[in-house]
Amino acid sequence: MRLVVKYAKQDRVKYISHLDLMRTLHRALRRAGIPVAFSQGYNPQPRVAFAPPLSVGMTSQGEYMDVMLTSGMSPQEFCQRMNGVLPQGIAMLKAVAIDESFPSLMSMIERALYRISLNTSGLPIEGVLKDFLSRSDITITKRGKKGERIVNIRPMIHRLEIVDRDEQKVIMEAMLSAGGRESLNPGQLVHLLLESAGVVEGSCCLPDIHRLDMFLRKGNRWITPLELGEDDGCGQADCGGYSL
Amino acid sequence: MDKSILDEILRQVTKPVRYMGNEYNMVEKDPSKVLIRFAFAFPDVYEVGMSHLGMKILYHLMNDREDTYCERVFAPWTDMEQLMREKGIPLFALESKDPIAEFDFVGFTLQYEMCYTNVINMLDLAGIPLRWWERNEHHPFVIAGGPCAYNVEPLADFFDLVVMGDGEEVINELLDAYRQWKIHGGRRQDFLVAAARIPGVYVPHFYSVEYNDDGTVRSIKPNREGIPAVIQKRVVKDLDKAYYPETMIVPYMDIVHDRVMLEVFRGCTRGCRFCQAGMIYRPVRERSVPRLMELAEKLINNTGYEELSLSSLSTSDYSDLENLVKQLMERFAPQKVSFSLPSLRIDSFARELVEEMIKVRKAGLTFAPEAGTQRLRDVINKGVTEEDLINSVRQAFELGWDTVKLYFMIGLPTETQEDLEGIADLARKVKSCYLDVTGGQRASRLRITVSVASFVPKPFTPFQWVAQDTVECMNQKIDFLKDKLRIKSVEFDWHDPRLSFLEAVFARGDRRLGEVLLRAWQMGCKFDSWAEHFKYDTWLKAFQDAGIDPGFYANRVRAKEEVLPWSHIDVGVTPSFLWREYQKALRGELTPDCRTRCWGCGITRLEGGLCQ
Repeated sequence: MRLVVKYAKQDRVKYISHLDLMRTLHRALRRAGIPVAFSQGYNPQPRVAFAPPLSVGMTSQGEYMDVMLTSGMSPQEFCQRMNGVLPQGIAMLKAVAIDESFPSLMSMIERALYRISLNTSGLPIEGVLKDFLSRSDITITKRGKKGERIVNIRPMIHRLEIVDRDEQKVIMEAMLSAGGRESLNPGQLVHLLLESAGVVEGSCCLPDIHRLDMFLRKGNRWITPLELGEDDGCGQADCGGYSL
Repeated sequence: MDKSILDEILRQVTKPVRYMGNEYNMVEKDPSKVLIRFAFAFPDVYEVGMSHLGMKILYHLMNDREDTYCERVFAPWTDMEQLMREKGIPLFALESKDPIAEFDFVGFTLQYEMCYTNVINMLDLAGIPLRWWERNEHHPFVIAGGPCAYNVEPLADFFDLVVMGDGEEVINELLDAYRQWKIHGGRRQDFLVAAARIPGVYVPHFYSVEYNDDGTVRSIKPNREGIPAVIQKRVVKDLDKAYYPETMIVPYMDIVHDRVMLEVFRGCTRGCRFCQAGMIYRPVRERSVPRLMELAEKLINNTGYEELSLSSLSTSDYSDLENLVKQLMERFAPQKVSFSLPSLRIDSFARELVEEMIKVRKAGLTFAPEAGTQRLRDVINKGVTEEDLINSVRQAFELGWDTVKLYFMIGLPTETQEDLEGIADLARKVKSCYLDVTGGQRASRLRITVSVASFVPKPFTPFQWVAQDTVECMNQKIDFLKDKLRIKSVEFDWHDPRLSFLEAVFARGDRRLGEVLLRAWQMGCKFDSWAEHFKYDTWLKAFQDAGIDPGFYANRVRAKEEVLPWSHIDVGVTPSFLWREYQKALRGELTPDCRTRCWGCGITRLEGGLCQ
């Protein structure tokens, strides 16, 4: 049985790395007595896979993991048992059973939606944003296994807009490419945006970045991984009552 | 503390998770509802400190008391320290993020000598006056325990009191005494006087040290009424009845020993003459198989760890090991829990055991012949033969291992060039054993790491009287080995002899070294056991400025009659036994395992365990 699980990584745990989070969840699965399947061989590993990682320092209400079980278990029970043994700040929101033949989350997910809160006192942010988005080329140098390469990240910004603001802060939403094929880190996006306005990013204006959800393509629609589910799974209220 | 300032600096440091707390099984209490706040301080970074079993035991033990909240604090890495100093953030405890200067106790565990400057640095960062005489009623009591506490003299200026031996009982007695003092009120000294009457508690400044003209100690005597002349270490008699936590904090980050630690026994009967742990943790006390199974069950369930290690000084000496491993495997292999058995002795490296273990997972193997020849192994009473080693590695190779590590010491008493050559000979024999077993197949996969450390003579061992080789001499020996170990598939690495030299100074140091520690810290020494922070020249300057010759402590042979700086401490094992062992060592005579017969080490004077 294969479950896709949506979970939150909140403020209290935002400094743990993806690797640390994976280890933490593996151990929570063991504490919860979840019948996780293991790989074969000398060094058996739990068959748990993850959606594209979240950078250290960011929070999220839209993280996903993909767990293979050796026996059946209701998605509700999975969430309940896990939520009883997780550190504060990590919460399972909802789980659904999916067809075992689906590819990995990493290869299916293409986009992620972020909420970015930025201290912009004194900065004409609307203008900056407009100029920034009007460019057809925003290039960065990426360092990878094959050495350095120039990448245009403009096509990876699918939406970037101000949704709220007060005297000191603006709240933006950003729909960005994410996943195995191409991805844009929202921290880097903010850096580029501020750079285009001539602001050198310092500790004074580090953004708070929160991932809202991740999306994959189904036909001509964008769906969240939970919508891959075979049945309705548990209602959100069962798993902590989170909503967007 | 203002959480937003902390948040701001955590964004800027490496591994912020070190300072975050909030791990699974962390104890949360309302600080306003407890009488005693205790900061358990480990003078190194989080990932080192969190691997320490003693902290796990005492953390949960103290937190089981309703009147006490024990929290953890580690040495912040230098980037974090710099930001804390810039922003005026005092050293805080991970649980509540409250400054530890506001606590009732700050208790350091002293696991190795080269953490001493970190102790001073942590006190400074906490805003706690460094020396005991600078503190008043508004400051915590700064206390210590752990193996280095048995000769805590170099740190005598910095601690209010020190606890000797097993902590499980004495820490409760100390907290009870503190509770009385806090409720009834009194001067700082009143608590220390009350504490000094608890067996195993040492208040350094209640003792006066006088020196001879040649710099050696003349006498160490209590300087007030009602204080014992000799401090005897504490021994927990029955480990089955002793406190052991049923849960452990599960860190987020990858710590050094990231697994359930099941302490199968305490103490060691082998009597290796260089080994301080083997002497100071006597007598041997075992936990029973049923108790261990009960603990394993609870600890695995409560932590979710995928690995469990059977820890002790010499795990293969556990009297019912096969049964224990068999039961553990039966119970936990279906859950894919793996086992590690550190400190396996070469001679008892049982094939069946290993075959059992690797059913689940395969770990690296380290063998510690300690010395290159049988003669020298007899001097140190290692009691292991070349045949034992070769048989063990043969078994390992037959079971599919390609990587082994061989650990040796150089500069052991009576060592000659022949003994150094013996190290290379052994490496060569291990290699030919591999080629023999594999028939030349997979030859390219073989990796033998020869690792050497310079011998550090330690107090409370038969070698407490001997001189350490000078740094120059140790360097020559390392150069000699580099040359001899130019063998394909053999890698050579070594511990910095300059560090071993300083370890030797502080291990057998006296109170006059407090001045050196303070000066070295003032000149920027900290994290000395981390190569990138070790400032040897600064240390030498600190000695020079204080007018102290480090060679006096490290490189000098002591006479039998000399009053050693730790002669007022009774660890059970007597100086006369240690001297007898020293003389036997010089004659190359063995002292077999004391489970075979009693050699009169003196530990039976203390209420003992398996010795009878």
